[in-house]
Amino acid sequence: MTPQQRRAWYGLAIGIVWTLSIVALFVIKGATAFDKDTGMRVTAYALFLAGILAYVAMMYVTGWKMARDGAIQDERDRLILRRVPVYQMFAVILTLAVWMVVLTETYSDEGQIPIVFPNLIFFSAIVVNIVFASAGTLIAYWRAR
Amino acid sequence: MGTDEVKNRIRRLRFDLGEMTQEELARRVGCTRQTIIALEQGKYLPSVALAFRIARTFGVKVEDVFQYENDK
Repeated sequence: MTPQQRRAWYGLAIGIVWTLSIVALFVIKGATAFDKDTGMRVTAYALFLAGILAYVAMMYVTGWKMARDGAIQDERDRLILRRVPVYQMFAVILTLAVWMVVLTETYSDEGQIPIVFPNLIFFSAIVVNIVFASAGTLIAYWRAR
Repeated sequence: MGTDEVKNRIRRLRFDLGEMTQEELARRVGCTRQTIIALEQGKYLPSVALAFRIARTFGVKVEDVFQYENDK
């Protein structure tokens, strides 16, 4: 396992915990509580920011350790890592497509969607983008075997 | 046009050079062990620079390490 793969596994672990935390919050409190319950809104924003901070901290610490240990990122690693943004873009587009279809089918009769959804769409796009920075790295290395 | 294939003798040359490990070769040429494994399995084609570094490590010409084959 290369240092980049190890880092990707850490990132994926953080991403999964992060995603489950946000999903659990919305499942427990209900999506519509986001509009009415200020505490829930603050918790959701705090979770969102905490995930980003945890991910950035992990990238910083692993990057520092890799530099300390003299870990090499060679030409094959760079070639593999160049594919990662493609997986990220695909995952984000797929997420947006799912939102579009689900919201259209659910709220087409009403002609409007609850105000919570722009927040959720934004959260999910960012979360998926970050999770797929790691998942995409693992997929790219797996495909290069 | 035919099918291009590049074979290499890295594994053979490593053993000829005192059973050099993949880790040692990787360290000497400045790449990861995973890249040496991928090269030996024919799953990765190196850059020209890396090919030269590998050849120089073995003290041979690039053509002695990598052989280009075309079925046409």
